[in-house]
Amino acid sequence: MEACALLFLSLVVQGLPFLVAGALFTAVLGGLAPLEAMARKCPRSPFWAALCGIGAGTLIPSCECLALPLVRRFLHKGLPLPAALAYLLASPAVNPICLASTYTAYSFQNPWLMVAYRALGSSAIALVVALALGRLNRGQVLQDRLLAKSDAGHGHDHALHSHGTDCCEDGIGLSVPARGPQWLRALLHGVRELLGDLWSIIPLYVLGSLASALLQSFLPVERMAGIGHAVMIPASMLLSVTLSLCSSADAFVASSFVFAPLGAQLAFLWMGTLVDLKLLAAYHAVLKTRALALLVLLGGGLVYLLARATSGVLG
Amino acid sequence: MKTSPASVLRFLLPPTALGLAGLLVWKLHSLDYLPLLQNPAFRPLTLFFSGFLLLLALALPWCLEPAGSPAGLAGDLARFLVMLAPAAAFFLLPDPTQSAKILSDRAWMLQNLTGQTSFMGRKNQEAIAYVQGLLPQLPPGEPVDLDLDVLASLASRPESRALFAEVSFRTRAQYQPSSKEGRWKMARLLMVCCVADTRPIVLEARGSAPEIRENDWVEATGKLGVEDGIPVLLATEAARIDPEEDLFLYGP
Repeated sequence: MEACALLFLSLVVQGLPFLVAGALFTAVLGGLAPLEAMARKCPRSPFWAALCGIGAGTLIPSCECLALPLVRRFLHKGLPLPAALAYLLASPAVNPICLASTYTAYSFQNPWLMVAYRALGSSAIALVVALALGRLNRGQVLQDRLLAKSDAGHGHDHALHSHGTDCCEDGIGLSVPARGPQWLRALLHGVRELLGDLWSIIPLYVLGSLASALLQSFLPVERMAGIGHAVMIPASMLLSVTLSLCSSADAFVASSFVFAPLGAQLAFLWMGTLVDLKLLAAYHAVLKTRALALLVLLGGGLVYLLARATSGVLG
Repeated sequence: MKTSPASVLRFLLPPTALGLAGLLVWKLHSLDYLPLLQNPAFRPLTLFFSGFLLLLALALPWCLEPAGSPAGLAGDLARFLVMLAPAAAFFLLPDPTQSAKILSDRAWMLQNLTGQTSFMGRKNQEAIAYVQGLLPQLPPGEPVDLDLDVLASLASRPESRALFAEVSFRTRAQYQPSSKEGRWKMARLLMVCCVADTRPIVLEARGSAPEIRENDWVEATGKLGVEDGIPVLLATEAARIDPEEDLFLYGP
């Protein structure tokens, strides 16, 4: 139990600042420029929208914890699903910090090759999953409270009316006072949205971290060392989901799997970036359970196939 | 606006829970748990944003109002209870010394999963440049003090072994015995982000290490070499020392 408590608190303490930073960045961005207008500039074609999402992921140095509040808010404002999902799934793997850490971790064995495989593999998986989920109706994929604004043409100025009504109810019991100057009410509206993001995501992240810590403490993961190569890829994927490592650090762990072929190491990296236990819970702040299940199954299947194919090439 | 007790409760739950989370991080910091849980490079960020959460929680009752509707209270209560879990975990934590032992054991358990010996590829060029810069300043025969991860990185590459073949190095690590006489391992735990990614860095050593037991801290001096294809430290001296203040080395 003591090891479990340490691991649990470690995961919470590690992710918390990035979740808050992501929410704060989103709130500040929303204050500087209307997010709805930015969302409208995204291409409507699902393919180009998804590529835009991946492209944004390569430019913004954000881990998965930081990306989640941003994606949630942009979806709230009507960003096309493929763009948002592609960014969410690819950005933790293709951002400059993650690629630099992958290069460093594999500096002994073809670092550029591993960086290329990681970036291209994660991008391809994110693209396919984003396009597949993007084909569905938004109502089938997104949580209802995100739909309330993005689909209802919510184009009014929040600073001009009181928020004591159901308008903009984001699952928190807070409203902006009807009195006061306009700039102050606009600021308070931003604060309220910030708190709404944090209140939606952090408890789910905590729950996921708890599940990860419990599994790591009570599952005999050390037995993986004895398994054969045939099941090394699914075992690496399972381990990656359980360990719930940050994408900036997971390459150091993967590179130490000296017993595993490179395909299995890549499966560890691809799967952990796509989804892990702490993210699985936190993604629920954005995606419905069925969409989440589809993401895991389709993404997991793609990771497996890609890792098998890569194993054939790399040996 | 008309407010019910339920809506006031719903109004108070989010800031209370998030404020508690911020407070918990500060408590962990004041009790010296943070260095065990995460890379100190992240500590300013962690403290800043947990302080921000605390301030946000304290400021909200003065700048926002209850929305007037208790809808969603059950969901908020569930979230609030989940947010109490870290506080509950805090009360299960052993003291920092015992925590360090638990984390060390866990890292070794995972080392068994990941192979017998591992070297981190980082810092090799920096290590070479560092040692080259240091050598002219040292009196002849003076060993060069290096962290184990840097030394293991130097040891693992033929070019750096050849470059420093005549240089004596000194490092501190935890002692891991071997079944063969005169063979042992030096190990340090390396953390990149948090304890979840902690791994041991191991460098094989050859030479006498009398009266040193498993997990004791040892200071060893010697030159780099290769034995049976494995990079080793050919130790001329090895003595037990007091444990290092910081259990971990920290990754880039």
